[in-house]
Amino acid sequence: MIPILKPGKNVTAQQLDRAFDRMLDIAENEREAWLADIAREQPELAERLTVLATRERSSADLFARLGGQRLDILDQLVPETGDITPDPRIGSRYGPWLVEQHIGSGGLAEVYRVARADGRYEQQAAMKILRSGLLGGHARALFARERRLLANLDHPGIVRIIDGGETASGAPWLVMELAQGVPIDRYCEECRLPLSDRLALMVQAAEAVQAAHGRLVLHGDIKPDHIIVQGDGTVRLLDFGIAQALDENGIGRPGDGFTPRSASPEQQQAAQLTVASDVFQLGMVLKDLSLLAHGGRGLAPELSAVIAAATAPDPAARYATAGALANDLRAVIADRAPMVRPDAPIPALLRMARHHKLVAALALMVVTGAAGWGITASLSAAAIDRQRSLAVAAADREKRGKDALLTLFRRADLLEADSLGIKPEASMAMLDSALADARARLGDDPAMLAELTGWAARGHERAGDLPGALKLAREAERLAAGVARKSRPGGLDHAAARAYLGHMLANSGQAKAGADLVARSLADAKTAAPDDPLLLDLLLSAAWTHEGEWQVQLPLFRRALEAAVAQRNVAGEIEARSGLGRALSNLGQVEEARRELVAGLDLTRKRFGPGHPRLALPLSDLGRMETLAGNPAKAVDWHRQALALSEKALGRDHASTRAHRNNLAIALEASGDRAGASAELARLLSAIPDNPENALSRAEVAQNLAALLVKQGRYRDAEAPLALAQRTFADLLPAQNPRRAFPSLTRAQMRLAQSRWQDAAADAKGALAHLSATLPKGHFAIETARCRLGMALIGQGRHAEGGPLVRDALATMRAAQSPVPAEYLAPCAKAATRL
Amino acid sequence: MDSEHDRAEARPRDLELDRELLAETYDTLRRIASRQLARRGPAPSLNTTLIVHEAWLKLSTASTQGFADRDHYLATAARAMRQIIVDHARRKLADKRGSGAVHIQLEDHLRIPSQPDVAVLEVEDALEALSVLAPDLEAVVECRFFAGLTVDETAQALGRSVRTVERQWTRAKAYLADHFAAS
Repeated sequence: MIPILKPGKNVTAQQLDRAFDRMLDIAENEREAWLADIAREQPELAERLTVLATRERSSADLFARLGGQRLDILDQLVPETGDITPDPRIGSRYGPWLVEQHIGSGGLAEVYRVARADGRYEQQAAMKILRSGLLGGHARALFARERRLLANLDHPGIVRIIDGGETASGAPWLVMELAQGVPIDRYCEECRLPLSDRLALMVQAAEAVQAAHGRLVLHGDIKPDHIIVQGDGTVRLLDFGIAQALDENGIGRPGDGFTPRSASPEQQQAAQLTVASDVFQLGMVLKDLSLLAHGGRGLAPELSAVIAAATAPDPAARYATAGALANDLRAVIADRAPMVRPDAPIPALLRMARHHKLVAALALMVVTGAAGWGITASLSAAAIDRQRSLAVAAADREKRGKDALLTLFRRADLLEADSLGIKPEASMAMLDSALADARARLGDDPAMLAELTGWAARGHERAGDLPGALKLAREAERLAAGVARKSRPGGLDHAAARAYLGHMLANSGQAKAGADLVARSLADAKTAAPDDPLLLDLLLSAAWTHEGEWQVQLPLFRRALEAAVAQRNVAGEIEARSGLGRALSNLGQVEEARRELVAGLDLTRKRFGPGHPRLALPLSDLGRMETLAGNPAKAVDWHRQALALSEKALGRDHASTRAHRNNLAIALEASGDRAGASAELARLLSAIPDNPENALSRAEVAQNLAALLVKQGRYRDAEAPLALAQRTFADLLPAQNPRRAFPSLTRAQMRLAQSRWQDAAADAKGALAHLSATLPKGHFAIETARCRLGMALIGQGRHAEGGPLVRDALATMRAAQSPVPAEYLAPCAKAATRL
Repeated sequence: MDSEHDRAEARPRDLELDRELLAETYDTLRRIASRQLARRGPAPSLNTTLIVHEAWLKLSTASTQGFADRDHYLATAARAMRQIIVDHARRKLADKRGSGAVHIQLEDHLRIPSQPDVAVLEVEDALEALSVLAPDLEAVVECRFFAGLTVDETAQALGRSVRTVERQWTRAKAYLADHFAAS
C-alpha cells in the first residue's frame, strides 16, 4: 500500500485529513495553541499535523523539481506525438462507423480511416472530425452546410460525402469517400511529367473547383496537398476544410484556418472571399507546377499570361470563374490563343507556323545556324580570315535568332534536334519555301514578313549565296521602312534592316553604298537604349560592314559589346568580343586584344561547354592574334587546340577541321617548323574529297604543300602535288588568273636546285609569260620568274642571255615600294653577285 | 467536507463525452507537436498549460451555446494531460526495463527519483491512493500539477471557490510531500 495519509495507532486517515483541513482555517499565530489543545487529548494526531504542516511549508522545492520532471517528459513526448498513446477514438463508433486508424491532421480537423460497423455492407471511408473545441458555433454551422452542399455534389473530381453527425462534445464529423492518391506536386515530380500533362491535371482540378462553386461552395484552402492524383491519373479535390458557403452573390465569409503560405491576398487580409480566392490558389499551384516542369527556364508567354490572370493581386482582375481558367489552360495545351492573351501578330504567326510546314523550315534554319559553320580552305590567309569572320557573324546571328525564337516556340522539341547537320543549302531551300508560304499568308502583316525576310536573307548569306542574300536584304529593308512609316515610328526595326542591307552591299563589293546605309542607321540608333535587341543587331551589322577598317570597327564592336552585356545576350557578347579582339590585334593593341579574345573564349566555353567545336573559332582568333603579335609558337599552340576540338567533334574530313588544319600549317610554317607544316598540309590534302566540287581547294593545298617541300629539298615528294596543282589550275582557273603560273614558278625553283637547267628554263619562261600578262608591271612575282629564267640560262652557260635578266629582276625588286620577301630576293641577289 | 466538490463527481456521467474530450486534447497536443516539429527549433520547450490553454482560449472566445460546459472541458483536458503524461512515462520505463538498462539513481538529498518517468509514476501512484482517501483532491492535483493551471483557473475549471481550491491544494501538497519524505 502506498504510504499516504498513513493512519496511526489511534488516528484514521480520514481523521487526519479532516483535522489538517480544519487547521488551515486557523490563523498562523494561533496554530501553536490550537495544536497544543489537540495534543492534550490526541498527542499522535497533533504530532502528525505538525509534521504535515512542516512538510507543506518546505514542499516548494519538491514540487518545483517534480514540475521540472513533468516538463522533461512532455519534451520527450511532444516530438513523438505520432505514438503518444493509443488515440482514444480508435475503436470507437460514430454512427455506424468504426474508427480504425488515424490518417492525418488537417488545419481544422482530424482524419481517420473508418469502416462500416453495422455489417450492412463493407465499405472503408475517411472520417473527418472538426475540432469543435477550437471553433465556435459559426464554424460548426459552416461545416454542416458544407456537408449539406457537398452531399448533393456529384462530381468525379470531388470526394463525395457519405454520412455525417456530431460527437458527444458537439463536434461535427463527416464521412467521405476514401480517396487514395498522391499530392499533385509530388505526382508531377515523381512521374517527371511534361508541362502539357501537368496543365491537363490542373484543368481537371479547376473543373472540380468550378463544380463546387456551382453549388455555392468555396474550397478556401487549395494547395498541392489538397489536389491528389489517383492511380488512374484522375484528379480529386480534398478537404473542403474551411469550405465557405457562398451567398447568392457568390460571396463567402472571411475564412479562418487556411494555410498561410498559399492564402490569397484577400484571405490574408481577412476580407470577404469570393470564387476569385479559389482561382488565385489554383493559379499558385499552376505556377509552381509549371516552373518546376521547366526547370526554371522561362515559360511560354501564353502560359505566363494565364498564370498572371489567375494570380492577379486584385480579385477583380482574375478569371471570373475557375471554369474560365480551365478553358484557357485547355487552349494553351491545344496551342490555341488563350482568352487572356488574344493573338498578337507574332504569336499568331508562330502558332500558324507550328501547324504548318513553315515551322519545320524555321526550326531547321535556326538549327543549322548553330550546327555547322564551315570554311573552305584557301591559300590566302587574308581570305581565310575574312570568310571565317563572315561565317562567325552569320552563325552567331542565326544563333541569336534561335534564342529569340526559342522563347516564342513553346514546343522546343522541334529545335532540340540540334545535331541534325542540315547543310546551309538545304536550309536555304526550305527557308525559301517557308518564305513563299509566309508571303501568301502574311500579306497583312508586313512587320512579321520583314522579319522573316531578314531571316531568309541571313540563310542565304550562310549558304554563301550573296546575290540572293542581297536581294532579300533589300526586300526586308523595304518592308521594314513601310512598317516604320505606318505603325512603328521610333523603333529600330527599319534601322536594323537597313544596316544588314548595308552589310550585304559591302560584302557584294559595294563598300561605299553599304557604308552610307550603315551611317544612316547608326544615326537613327544614336539615342537607342542599350537593352534594345535590335540595337545589338544593328551595331554588329555595322561593324562587319567595315571589315578591314579596324579603326572604324573598334568603337562599333565596343558599343555592341556594351549592348550585349546589358541584354545578357551571350551569343552577341561572344561575337562582339571576337570582333573586338580581331580589330585590336590588327591595330597592334595586343594586350587588349588578348584580353577580349580570352574573355570571349571563356564565355564560349561557359555557354557551349568544354570540348564543343564552337570553341575552335575563338581559339583560332587567338592563334591569329599571336601570329600578328609575333608569337608564332603561341599561335601554333592555339591553332593546334582549335584543330583538335574540331577534329574530335566533327571528324578529320569536315570542312571546318580542314580550315583549322590549314591555319595550323600556316602557323607552323611561320614558326619555322616546315616539316610540321608540310605534314599537316599532306594530311589536309588527303582529307579533301577528290571530286569536282573540291578540286580547286585540293589544288591550292597541293601548291602550298609543294612549295613547302621544295623549300625543304624534298624534290621527289613535291613532283606529284605540283603536277596536280598545275593540271587543276589550268582546267579550272580563268585564263587571266595569275595563280595558274604558280606551279611552274615553284617547279622552276626546284629544277634550279636540281641543276636541271633546261627544265628550269622552260618552267620559268612559261611562268614569266603568264605573270607578265596578268599582274601589274613590276610585281615581285614577275621579277622572281624573270630572275629564275636568268639563273636557268646561266646554268646552261648562256651567261649573255641570263645575266641581264638577273640584274634587271634584282633592280626592279629592290626598287619596289613594298619590300620583297627575303626568300625571293635573296637567291636573286646571290646569283647577281656571281655574275 | 466541501459541498462544492460535487461538481467533480460529474465526470463519469458521460463516458462518450469524456472520451471525446480526451480525444480533443490529444488533437490539440498533436497540432502543437506538429507545429513544433515544423519549426524544428532546438529542444522543444512546452508546458502542459500551453496545451490546455490553447483549447481553453478558443473555447472562451467561442460562443458557448453549443457547448455550455466549457469549464468541465478544462477539467477533462487536465485529466487527459495526466493520462497522457503517465502513459508516456510508463511506456518509457517499460522500454528501459525491457532493454535491461535501468539505472535508477536515488540521490539522498533530493528524496525523489531523479528519473522523470519514475518520479511522475510515483506521483501517480500516490495520487491514486489519495483519491480513495480524499477524492476531492484528485482533480485539483490534475489541474494544478498535471495541467499547470493556476489556482484561479483550477477554481473555474472545477466550479469551486478559489479559497476551496487553495486549501485543497495545500492539503494535497502536504500529503504528497509527506509521502515522498517517507518513501
